Amino acid sequence: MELELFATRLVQGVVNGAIYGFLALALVCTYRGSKAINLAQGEMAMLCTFFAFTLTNHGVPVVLAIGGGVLFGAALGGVVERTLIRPLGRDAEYPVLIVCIGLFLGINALAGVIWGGDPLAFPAVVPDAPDDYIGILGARLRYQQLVIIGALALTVTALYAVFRFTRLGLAMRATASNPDSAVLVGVRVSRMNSLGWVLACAVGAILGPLIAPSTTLSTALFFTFIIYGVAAATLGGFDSPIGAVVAGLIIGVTENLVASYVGFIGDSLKMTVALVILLVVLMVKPTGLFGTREVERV
Amino acid sequence: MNLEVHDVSAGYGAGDVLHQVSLDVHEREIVVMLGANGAGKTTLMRAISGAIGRRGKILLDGVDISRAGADEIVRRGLAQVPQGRGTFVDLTVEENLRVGALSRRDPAGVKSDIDRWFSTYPRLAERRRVKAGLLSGGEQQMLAVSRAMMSRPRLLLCDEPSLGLSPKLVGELFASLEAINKEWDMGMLIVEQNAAIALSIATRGYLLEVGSITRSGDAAQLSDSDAVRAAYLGY
Repeated sequence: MELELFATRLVQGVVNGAIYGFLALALVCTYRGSKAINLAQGEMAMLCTFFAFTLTNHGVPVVLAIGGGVLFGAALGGVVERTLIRPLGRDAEYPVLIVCIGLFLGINALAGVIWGGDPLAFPAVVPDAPDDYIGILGARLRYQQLVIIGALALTVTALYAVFRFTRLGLAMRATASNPDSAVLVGVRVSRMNSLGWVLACAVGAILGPLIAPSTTLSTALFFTFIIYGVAAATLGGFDSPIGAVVAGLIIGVTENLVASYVGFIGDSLKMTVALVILLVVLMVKPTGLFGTREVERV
Repeated sequence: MNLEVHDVSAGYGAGDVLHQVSLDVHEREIVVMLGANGAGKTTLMRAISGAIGRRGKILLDGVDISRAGADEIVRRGLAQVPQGRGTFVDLTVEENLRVGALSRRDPAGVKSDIDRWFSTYPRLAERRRVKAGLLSGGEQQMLAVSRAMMSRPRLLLCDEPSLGLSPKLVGELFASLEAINKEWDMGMLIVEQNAAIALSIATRGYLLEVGSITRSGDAAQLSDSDAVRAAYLGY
């Protein structure tokens, strides 16, 4: 009984952590491309989820609809970068932040106008009846949750491989490291910046439709997740895809265990736990757990 | 490769830093551009390599590149060793070299060029998997030169390569540039404040003052001119 309870909380923590890590992964893509922290990342993913929802409503099978949402997301990321971010110029941290907040509000309102404020039921990609789960030490891991974890593993592996082993990935990393110098070796820096946004929004568009069946789809889909996502990206060091995922899992698991075993915290102070972890880590290691320290000899 | 610059003006935002600068670098020639801080040397380099907007005419082997983007200019055979070395600090030494070759499409050639530069600079080979930001200034300058050479350029621009190096390293660096010039039959335009050493390997030179060329001539002529001697040679 004790063990079953522990396992249940652990599994829940891992699933939540996977979601945080997934969103953090999208944030890392934008950051790597253009050193921007896209606070509207969650809302953009939410919009893609609504897009996929509309496709399913027109009879498109759910997996294809998600694919459609990902393409929509990629296009959305490209358009937003080209029209709203690039004109701000380089080294425009604060203007970008403000634009992202504007995007957050604008997209949220837009989705509300088009799809209304009522929560909608989004179809799952795998059977999702009450008894569609695997038992792990008495804990239940639902098939749909397994899909989230699997999709995260695939996405992070793919991104890692692109960054590490392809010319394109090398060009993106060079751009993030030293844009002035990247221009001089012939890298099209503005294209790399766009690509970061395209990748990020595509990643977000995979996540949204996978969590929507359990949370229901509404304009509030990512309200809390984005806070955790930013926390995970920060904890992971903001420029490491794998760091983002590991940090997401650490936050998810710790907050669930602490919330269940420390009496006075409970569900109501859960988010505080995540933020306290973040605070402590940043005090000890300001670059996050996996961030590249600015190594430079002068 | 021939470089001709005709009446080029360029700057940032409000005003021009360069005013109708003209110069040329012939095939296999080392040309030095002398100038004090703020004379517009780096702006000139950036204008030639397409990193900033510019007016006027720039010809590479007769082809007008004054409207071309930086990526096209690299592909046409011009490479730059930027001021401050332009190291990609959180990439490894070897990755820095691969970045230099991003404009190329011959993986086998890139690989053999990497080995070639590692044998030229064994110090870099020893540290190939180290993050480039951890290299010393001299090592980073070697890396910057080899990174620029990785694009197989036919003309090399060097922006104040001696900056921040000890006299001994400056000597080694210029010897190395001269060797590259001979071995690869490659033209170079070197921007410098260290006039003595730059003039010692150059055939010709220009003097850039407040954004305009005020003097030009053979390296020997320039070394003898009073203006250059007073301002840059200190005797």
